[in-house]
Amino acid sequence: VTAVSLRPRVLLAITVYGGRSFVPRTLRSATAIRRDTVELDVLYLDDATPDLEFGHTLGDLAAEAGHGYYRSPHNLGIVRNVNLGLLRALESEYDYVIISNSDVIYPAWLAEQFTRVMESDPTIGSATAWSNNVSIYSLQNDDPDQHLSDQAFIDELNEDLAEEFSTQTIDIPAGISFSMIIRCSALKQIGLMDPIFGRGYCEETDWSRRCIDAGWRLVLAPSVFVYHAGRRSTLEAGLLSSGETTVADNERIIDHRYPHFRNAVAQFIRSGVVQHVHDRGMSALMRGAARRHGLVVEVSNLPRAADEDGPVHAQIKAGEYGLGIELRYRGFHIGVPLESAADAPGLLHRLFSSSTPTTVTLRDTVPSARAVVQVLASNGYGLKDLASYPECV
Amino acid sequence: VGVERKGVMVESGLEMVEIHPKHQQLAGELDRLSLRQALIDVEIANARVSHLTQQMIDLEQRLASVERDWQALFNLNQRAAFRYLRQIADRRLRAGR
Repeated sequence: VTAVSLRPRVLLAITVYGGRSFVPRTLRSATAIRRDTVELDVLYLDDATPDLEFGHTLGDLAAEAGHGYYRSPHNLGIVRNVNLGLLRALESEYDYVIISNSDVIYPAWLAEQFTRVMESDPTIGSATAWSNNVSIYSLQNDDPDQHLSDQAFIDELNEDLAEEFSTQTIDIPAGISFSMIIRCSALKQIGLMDPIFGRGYCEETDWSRRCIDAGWRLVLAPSVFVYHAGRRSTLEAGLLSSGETTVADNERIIDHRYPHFRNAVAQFIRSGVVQHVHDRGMSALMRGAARRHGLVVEVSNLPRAADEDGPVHAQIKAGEYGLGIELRYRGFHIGVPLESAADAPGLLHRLFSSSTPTTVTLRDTVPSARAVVQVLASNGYGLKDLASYPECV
Repeated sequence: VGVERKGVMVESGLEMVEIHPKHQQLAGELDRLSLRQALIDVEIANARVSHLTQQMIDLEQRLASVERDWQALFNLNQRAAFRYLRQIADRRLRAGR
């Protein structure tokens, strides 16, 4: 009797071109991906990196980690290099393939959470991860390289997002191949990326439209967040110059093939769905961070910078420009409007529940700030008055 | 890294690469896949070039036909404009009398 594993088989295909400074970090992150409920293989597809010594190093590191490494004898360009990963997944009969850039940090639950999402609905053809630097599917951060390039933090963030979103998805007009999972049965029907896109960009948009046209769902998985440094490989390959984010010729092909695509994207943005999910995600990450690292509530109209590993800052602004709470943590920030000062305690409690602190720090002398503090005080908050000390303001 | 490489030099397409022993089987399999797909890509690219060339020939013929039509209309329009100007001039001459 042969034992047959019921765990889904997943291939993580990471395209590599150069990247001595960041690929080893990606490799460490890929090594830490949990495999409790999946059978995961990792494959590096080195597109003939000119730095041959680095290629050897990566091959050795991959061998040590039990990952696969293949160096193409000739530079193929991103599209055909990705296709090689897709072909490998098809030929080796994987259930899913995750295609990924090499300038990322994965959450430990990448493969498990991605497959949970895919298995929640058999009509999903592909799911894209959320990130800090992926077009409209981004939780924007002031300085991702400083605040987010940390495995432990990415894992924490993913815990919070998985708790908030579980296997929920939203349908999107196009996936982004920096880190997207594809169902191999869908891939078999839809086919590979089109090599007409040469050295890359827009190929996943074309593939996405074919995926939707074939009747598959294309979704964003907001419970999966992958840190993305962004454009590192394409900059190294000289495909994009610094400041560019796309390739105009490839965009023209998309416009020609899918004349309604830009409208679909505009409608998707106007629908507010992505903004709603974004706000939920931000709230979830603030809530989780407050639970772990604490929360500071202060009333001030002055801009303030949050500490790197400090608590979440909830800054209540009560000035001539209106009333609201700005939440900040590790370069993330989100503004929540307030109808009146009386709503502040209730909103804080709804957002943070048991993490709500018992004191509020006052750093402003304007009467409206005093009014907010009085409301908080009447709701049991103690006051730490720093507004009388100009050197502290 | 300090790992002793025990791989052999294998002629792999366009460059000689040193392959880690653990990756040798994978390299053979992916070389084969890559080559097969490259041949398919060439077939597709050739088909696209043939198709586009045929389209270009068709469009050139259509362009020449449209240019001929445009020239004929231009000539017609010039004759009509000339007739109209002559009519105005005749009317003014008659009015002058």
